[in-house]
Amino acid sequence: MTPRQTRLLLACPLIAFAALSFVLAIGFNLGRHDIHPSSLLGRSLPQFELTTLLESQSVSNEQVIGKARLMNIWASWCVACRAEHNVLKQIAEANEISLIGINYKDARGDAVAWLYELGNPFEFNIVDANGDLGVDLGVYGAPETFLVDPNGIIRYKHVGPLTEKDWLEEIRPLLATLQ
Amino acid sequence: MLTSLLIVTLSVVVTVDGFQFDSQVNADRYARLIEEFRCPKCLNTNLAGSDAPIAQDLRRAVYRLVVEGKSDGEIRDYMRERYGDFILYDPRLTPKTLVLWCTPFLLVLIATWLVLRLKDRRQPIQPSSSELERIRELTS
Repeated sequence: MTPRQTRLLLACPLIAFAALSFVLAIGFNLGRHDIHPSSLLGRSLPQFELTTLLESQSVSNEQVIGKARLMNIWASWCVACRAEHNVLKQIAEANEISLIGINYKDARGDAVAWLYELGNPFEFNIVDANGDLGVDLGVYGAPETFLVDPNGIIRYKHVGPLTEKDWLEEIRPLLATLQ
Repeated sequence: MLTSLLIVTLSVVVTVDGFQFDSQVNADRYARLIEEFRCPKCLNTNLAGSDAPIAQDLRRAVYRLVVEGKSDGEIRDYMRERYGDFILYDPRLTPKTLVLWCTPFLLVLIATWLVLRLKDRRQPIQPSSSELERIRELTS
């Protein structure tokens, strides 16, 4: 083996390490790993036939379509939803968009008590007791928020608790383009 | 006789995971699909192997789609549209996954090339004339 070959061989572990670091650096910087892009963006809200939480009336896509809506997946067992609730109330008070709650895999009594305790920013709440609507929406867990345009097309999806920044910098500008 | 046999065949019910299927084919498809999909909330588990609530919901969705008569391809599309490529353990060949698919073949090619190159480089050992003499001595 020539000295040149020996040097090349000795450099192999270093090259392998550099290559691995490169791949991992890209992988770890791709963004949050618990969020996967939804191809539902730009597509219609799935068909559903459910009931509302407080009024126990039947509700379907018909009641959602017609104006821009912010649809929020929440549950009384969801700790992050509690943190998000104030932001939702602020959005509701600004009166720029109608909020609809999707009560996800919750007990009815707990959900109603939760709204009485923390306030109800939603125009109405859709009960998704077994999570079927959630699956149809590609939901991982609560909270998640969808912006639906007046034609019932999903325009934006947010996984995790909504912040004031998300509302001001992402949803509000997007909403302005819809109207 | 024939009628009763027909009724027996038609009313075959196969149960998997507490779900009832009208045919063994559909039951097998269900079992295969939940092996194939990855639980979106878990680190590295398929739908079949996870107790996460979301995995239970997705198993129920797979069951519903199988019973509704959807093809395997349609069910894969349904899942991918909602949960992204992440849910497929067998990734599709797209520009984004090209590297993933090609790297192993590329590595084999590079390795083959390296092996062949190093083999060519190796000089055949030529015994010197004195050594040849010695070999002749020893072997005679």
